[in-house]
Amino acid sequence: MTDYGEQRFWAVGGGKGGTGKSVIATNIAVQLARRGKKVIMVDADLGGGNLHTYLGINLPKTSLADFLKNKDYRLEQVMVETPHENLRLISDANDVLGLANTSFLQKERFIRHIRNLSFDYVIIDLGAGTANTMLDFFLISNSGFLVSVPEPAAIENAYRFIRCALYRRLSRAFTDQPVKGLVEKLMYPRDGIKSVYELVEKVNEIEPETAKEMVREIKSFQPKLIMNQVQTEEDITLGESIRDVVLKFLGVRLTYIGYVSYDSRLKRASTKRLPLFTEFPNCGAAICIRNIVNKFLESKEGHIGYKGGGRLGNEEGFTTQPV
Amino acid sequence: MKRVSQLNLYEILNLEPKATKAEIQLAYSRLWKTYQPDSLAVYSVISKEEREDMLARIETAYNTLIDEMRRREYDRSIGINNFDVAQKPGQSESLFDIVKKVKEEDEDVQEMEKSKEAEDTLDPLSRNFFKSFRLRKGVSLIEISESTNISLAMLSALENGEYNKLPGRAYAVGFLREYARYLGMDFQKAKQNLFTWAKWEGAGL
Repeated sequence: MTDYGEQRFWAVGGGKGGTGKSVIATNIAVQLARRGKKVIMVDADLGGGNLHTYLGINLPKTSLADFLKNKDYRLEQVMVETPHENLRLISDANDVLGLANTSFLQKERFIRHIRNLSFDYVIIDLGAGTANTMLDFFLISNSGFLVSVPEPAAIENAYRFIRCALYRRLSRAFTDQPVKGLVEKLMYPRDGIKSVYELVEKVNEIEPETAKEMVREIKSFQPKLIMNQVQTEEDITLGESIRDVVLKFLGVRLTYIGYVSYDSRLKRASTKRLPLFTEFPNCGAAICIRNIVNKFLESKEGHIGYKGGGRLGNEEGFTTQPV
Repeated sequence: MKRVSQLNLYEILNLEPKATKAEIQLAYSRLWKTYQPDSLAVYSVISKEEREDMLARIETAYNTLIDEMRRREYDRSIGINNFDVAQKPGQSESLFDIVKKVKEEDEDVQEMEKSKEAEDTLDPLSRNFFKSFRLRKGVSLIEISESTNISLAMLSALENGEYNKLPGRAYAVGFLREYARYLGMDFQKAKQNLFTWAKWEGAGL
């Protein structure tokens, strides 16, 4: 478990591009900043980052890549002000290759440094896909949010993201043979291990104690789902359906935390390079995002100082405790 | 962690063993849609066989749990004691008591209604509107309960203004919609009545 002290580290991902991750992440951050919380947004969109645009600022001269590539850099040097009080940004827009090849140690250094900064919330916006960097930031976070839309391809990618994140989490946590070999087979369900249930059963046959530990590990992985661009009652309940399928067939406890209604004003605000809360603070989508933030902050997990969540394994440098 | 094949009927429907009939209905209708062939939620993640197997399990769970006798039998087989599933914990009224109470009250009000003029118009905001309306139609609560699958306890609470016994606003409105539809009552007026009196009583609806 990664200890962030009082700081909350939220990651927003989801596998598919164009589902509105960045817009939602930006508006969650602005919403928190408006409540007087000190917030920092981190753009981790693999070279395709444009959070600065959503926040209405020009391309920053420094980026997260500068910090990751240069050991002498401090995070403060790559952090820029935004037009919003209490909200700062670490961009990734300058780097062509982006964070694609970031090593674990680089990520660890980033976490260590950000932990030392006096921000209440760190909101990291992940890019599309299931590259290890995306999965690692998602898993390191206290709370990982998946953004999807009611379209087959987006839902397919959300499932793939959950499956890959779980696999990554297990492969980081169980590094000794023969369990390691079994975990690897989970990624190849056609001729390997077909489900997480089968994996636990097979581990239980050879190492019952490890199997118990694995169940704890799986149960503690609890991503949150946000359905974006919903237009009908069916779109809203689709989130519940996904939750059920993920629980029963992938073995993961997904929480459906809320939906954001389709709202043309979101596009209008983005065109003006302004967050929704600045331009249309009381439109339908803004109300939905406010509801999500309220609901989450009221939950045990949303409280500042909550110690659960983030875990990536037993690598040196991380505070690890049994989950 | 349990495979689908190891889940009990409550777990299949994501319900607590104390679930009410309305909750069972709602869970069933949601899950039934979830596992239909055209559902976006199952696209790409489970096989046709898994989907069909799941639907069969949902169907079995619903048919067993919605039927009071079958549910009791099933509860006994898995070691659950649900004598009166319609009751919230701490409320000790048995189903027998409720039926008896409902019958007695019906008889009283029927007498009262008979003495009134037939053309007498009911005030939709009056305290006794629901019951008076129903009795004028000559319909018993048991009949509504059997037709709508809403428990007698819930219907009785709705009619008698026992708002604290209702499981929250969404369910109360759902029950009322079914109740009003069965009686041919104007749902909007009924809703207004419910919220007016709940507010008056300070109930959290």
